[in-house]
Amino acid sequence: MGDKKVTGRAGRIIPFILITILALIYLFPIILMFSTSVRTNDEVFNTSLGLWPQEWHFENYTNVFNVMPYWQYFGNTMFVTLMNVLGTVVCTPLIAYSLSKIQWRGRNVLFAIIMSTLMIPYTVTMVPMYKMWTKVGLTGTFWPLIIPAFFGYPFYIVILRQFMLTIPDELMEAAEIDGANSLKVFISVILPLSKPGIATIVIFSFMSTFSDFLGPLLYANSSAHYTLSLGLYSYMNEHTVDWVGMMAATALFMIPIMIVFIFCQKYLMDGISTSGLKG
Amino acid sequence: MKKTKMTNREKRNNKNGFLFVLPWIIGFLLFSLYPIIMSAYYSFTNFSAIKDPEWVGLDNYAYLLKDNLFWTSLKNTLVYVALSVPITIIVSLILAVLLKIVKVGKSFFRSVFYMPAIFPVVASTIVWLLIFDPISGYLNRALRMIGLTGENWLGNPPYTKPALVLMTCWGVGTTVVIILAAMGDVSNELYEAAEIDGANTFKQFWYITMPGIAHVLVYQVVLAIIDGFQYFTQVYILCSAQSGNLSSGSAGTQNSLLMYPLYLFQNAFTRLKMGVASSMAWILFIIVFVLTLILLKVSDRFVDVK
Repeated sequence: MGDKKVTGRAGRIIPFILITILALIYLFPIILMFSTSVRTNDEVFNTSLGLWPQEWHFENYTNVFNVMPYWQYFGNTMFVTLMNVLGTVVCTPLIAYSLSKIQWRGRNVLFAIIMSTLMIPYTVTMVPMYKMWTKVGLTGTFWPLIIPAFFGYPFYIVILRQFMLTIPDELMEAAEIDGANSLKVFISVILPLSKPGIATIVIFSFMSTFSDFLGPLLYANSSAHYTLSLGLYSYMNEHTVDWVGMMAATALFMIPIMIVFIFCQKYLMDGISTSGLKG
Repeated sequence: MKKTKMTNREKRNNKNGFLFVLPWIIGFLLFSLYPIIMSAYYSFTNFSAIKDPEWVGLDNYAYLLKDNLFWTSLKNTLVYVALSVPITIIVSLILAVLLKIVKVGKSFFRSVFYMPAIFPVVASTIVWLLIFDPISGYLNRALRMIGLTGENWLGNPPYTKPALVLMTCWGVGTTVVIILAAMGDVSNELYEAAEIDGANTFKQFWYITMPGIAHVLVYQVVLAIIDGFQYFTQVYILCSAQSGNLSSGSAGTQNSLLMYPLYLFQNAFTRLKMGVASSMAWILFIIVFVLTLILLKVSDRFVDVK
């Protein structure tokens, strides 16, 4: 188990074979999605055929753009997502800074409250929130999906606070001796050093908003406001038998996430690791 | 002089610290505390999106106790939680241990196991719909290859929960990464000492790794329970795929896919019984809260607090 050798050749080969098999199983749904997306519907239901397509029908992808306003859904999704990222970036660092680097009365109580809000089931707040947004006339717009981000999500606050705790206090003290006030210390010392932590919460915020289903389901009640999640869902309801079209549309939804993942996985893994360990 | 300077600084800190978290406090009052209080109030009222709340006392709770679908949905969710929590934790542990042992291609494998966790739920559920297809689906194809007959996974009530748990197992990547990180934090000296004492890999795992990551595991179990009770999007999508639309209220054969949050959602938004939905939300809240509390209390006895 340690970083030292695991005894014997079998001790090395058996785990490798096991992990390879498991990896293939985990990759299978993704391979199936891409394989199905370039076939014909007849082929999908022909059980004598394997995963490898007989012919490659890439027109399935261009077809998606004809039957579904993909770019409009993509635009809606990106608008909501980028606004969420903006809200998160604008307000989270200052909150995390106050909770990690400033000594003030009530700080620990407040942090305990933030931690406990992580446990509130969404089902409890869902109905009153819906009622609230209806009252102010914002259901059917993007705003219920955006505005809360500007007040800070507990999960991102916790991650960034954890990150800022690792910044040595001496760096701040040097600036304080030079007469900088807390806001100045924040801007000139903490913010530049927190870039990796901020990158992590940006990616988290991007991923979760981009994929969100329940939010748009509640508040985007016309197709003009559909995000990709909802667009794909309604496409599924209308074309249940068109597997190849559905898989092409699904792939077009997954590809942006895969690209972000490939470029940003280091930040994601680091963020998850720290968020889980303080438990 | 020096003393007043200190208090001035303290005062300034108290003011600034509070000022900087003010956005969150406002957000908390608006988007957490107010909705929680209103939800409790709504649970004692009769109202819908088009009707103002009207006080009915405990009627909603009494109505739910006599509502068969309420019990069906509660049972479905309890079965799902009871199956998915232990299975996903064990699967995550196995994957994390393998990632820890295997040196070749480690980061590739880690990415493979993690990636499904970040896929949009709508997208991955649709892919699984194809895998579960009774005739052409690959799960049944694989089963037929080893001589079994296969099942109508999403249509035959006893098989729906195992099918859902299988889907959940595909998305355990976050837990895997957290457990892996926790394993990395276990001191190497312990393993070296065990090696000298001649403890084999399994003994090392049981006596060093497990106690070392126990506190993280408990936290992951709590999260898995909370997530399990809130399991919604997947069944919402699966049920729409089966019946076309959800307003009919059907949720799989014999309502075997009717999870608690799905029935809550139907009450709130298709049956226009938002009061009843709020009562359901509070019953769920209390169940989850009590379960979490019991689990943390019990684990306190066995787990070293770090």
